[in-house]
Amino acid sequence: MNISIHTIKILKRQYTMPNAIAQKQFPFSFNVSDSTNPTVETSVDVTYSPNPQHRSGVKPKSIWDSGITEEMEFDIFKVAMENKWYRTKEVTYQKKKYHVFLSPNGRGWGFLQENGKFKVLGKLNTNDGRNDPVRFCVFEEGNPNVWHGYPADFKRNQDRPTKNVLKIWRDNNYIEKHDIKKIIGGSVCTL
Amino acid sequence: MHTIRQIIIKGDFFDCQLYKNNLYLWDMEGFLHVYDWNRIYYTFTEVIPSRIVRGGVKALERFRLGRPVDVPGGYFPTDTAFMGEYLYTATEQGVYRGYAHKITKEGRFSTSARPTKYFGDIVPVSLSVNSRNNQLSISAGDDGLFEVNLSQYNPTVGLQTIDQKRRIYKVSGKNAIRSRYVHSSLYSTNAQLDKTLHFFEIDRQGDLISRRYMRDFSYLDILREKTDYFSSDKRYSSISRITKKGVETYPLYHGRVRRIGKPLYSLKDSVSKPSSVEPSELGTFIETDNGLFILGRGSRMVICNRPISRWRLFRKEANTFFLFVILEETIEIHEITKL
Repeated sequence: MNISIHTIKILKRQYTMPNAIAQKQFPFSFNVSDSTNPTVETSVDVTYSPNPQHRSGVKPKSIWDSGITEEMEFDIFKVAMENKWYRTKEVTYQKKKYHVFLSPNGRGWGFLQENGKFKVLGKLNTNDGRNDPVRFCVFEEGNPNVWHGYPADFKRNQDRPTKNVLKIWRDNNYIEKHDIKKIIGGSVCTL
Repeated sequence: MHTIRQIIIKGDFFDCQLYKNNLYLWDMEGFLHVYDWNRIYYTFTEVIPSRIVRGGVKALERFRLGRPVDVPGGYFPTDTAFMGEYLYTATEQGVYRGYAHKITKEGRFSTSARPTKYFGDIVPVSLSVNSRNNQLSISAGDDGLFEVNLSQYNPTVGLQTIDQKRRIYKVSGKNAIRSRYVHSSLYSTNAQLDKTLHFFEIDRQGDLISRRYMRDFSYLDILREKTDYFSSDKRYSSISRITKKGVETYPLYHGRVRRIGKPLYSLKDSVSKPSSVEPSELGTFIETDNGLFILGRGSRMVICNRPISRWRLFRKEANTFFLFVILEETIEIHEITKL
């Protein structure tokens, strides 16, 4: 049988993508500003499907702490989405600019606090041997409306929270301005 | 060195620049405000050398030039830089460029309200300018290190061209979070705080002059082969990096035979964790997780003992500088003389 490079790529992608059937699935709905009329809200139905690769130790996937169960992972995701800690896109409606939920290819960020301190959610597991504990996680919409998350490495461009999220965190006193500078400067893997 | 005057402006700002006697302030809401710096400076330091200005943007209203303008991307900028009449703004969507200040036909001051995307497809984390040669370096984390070379006289040779028309080049594909110019070369820092010299040589062939990329030198390579390059135009300079032991500094003396001995250490066994170490004309600036200080030749000046968001240094006169330090709810402006 002849297998083209294209077929191998598809098979490889299917192999590495979280398997929606074998994995746990958590359905969830939340309200977002409508992208065509941002003055009204609309409901979005998504599925949170934890990716087992972030618990298996395979490099370079960061690893959830064993104390953070998949149910807790989902709880952090729910808090993130309900508080709009996700990437947005700018739309103009009636000459005013709005920032609305971006999907597909959505991204969100979360954390857990205990007594006012960020809890360690997991650790890095990079190819160059970094295994620092990390206190933030990133959620990604791997397939349309199907999300999974993993402990974030702020040194990676795609793991850093966007400015709208950082601003909400600061406005709610979770972080300070110098934390924002550290995060967007790419010099720290976590706070 | 010592502070001779100080102004503290209460307000929620994220970045600042002093350019052609104008003070540019970026707030946290995504607006850029421009003020007449000379008037602010003389108003607040004429009678007493130290002044606290309360009220932020409102208190500065009488010094305002033009209207506040939107920051591209809608939020506070990642970094900003001025080069050749243009303001470059690093955002999550790339680098934007707009004219810095223009006097309209009516004689009014104006800053571009609609900067255009100059370089997308990357996530820049910091900018640095070589204003003498019209070169702008863009450190873009995992995306690598890039340069905009608008020099008429030093065209770049030996680098991958990203955009011929805009003269954007890729200096390195390796991670870079900060960079600065050392003569015609670039000295970068990566996320692990390792330093690399991206070495360029000026190539003269008759009337043709070009700036040719030669090779990269690691920090240890620099100590072995290139210390003269860092000490060539000053009586005293230094080369530093952050190590597990603290901040390691090798003093370099111009004109002396190159001999690298043991380094000096600052913040050894300190509870403050250094996050950046950058040389300047005033001395070596060391930023820690709870403060900022300047390490001079045999002296150390503490600027503040609180976490800082950003600092910027501007020359006022030959040996006098304005140091802007952005803190959680204030900007501290120190006028410092170098003894």
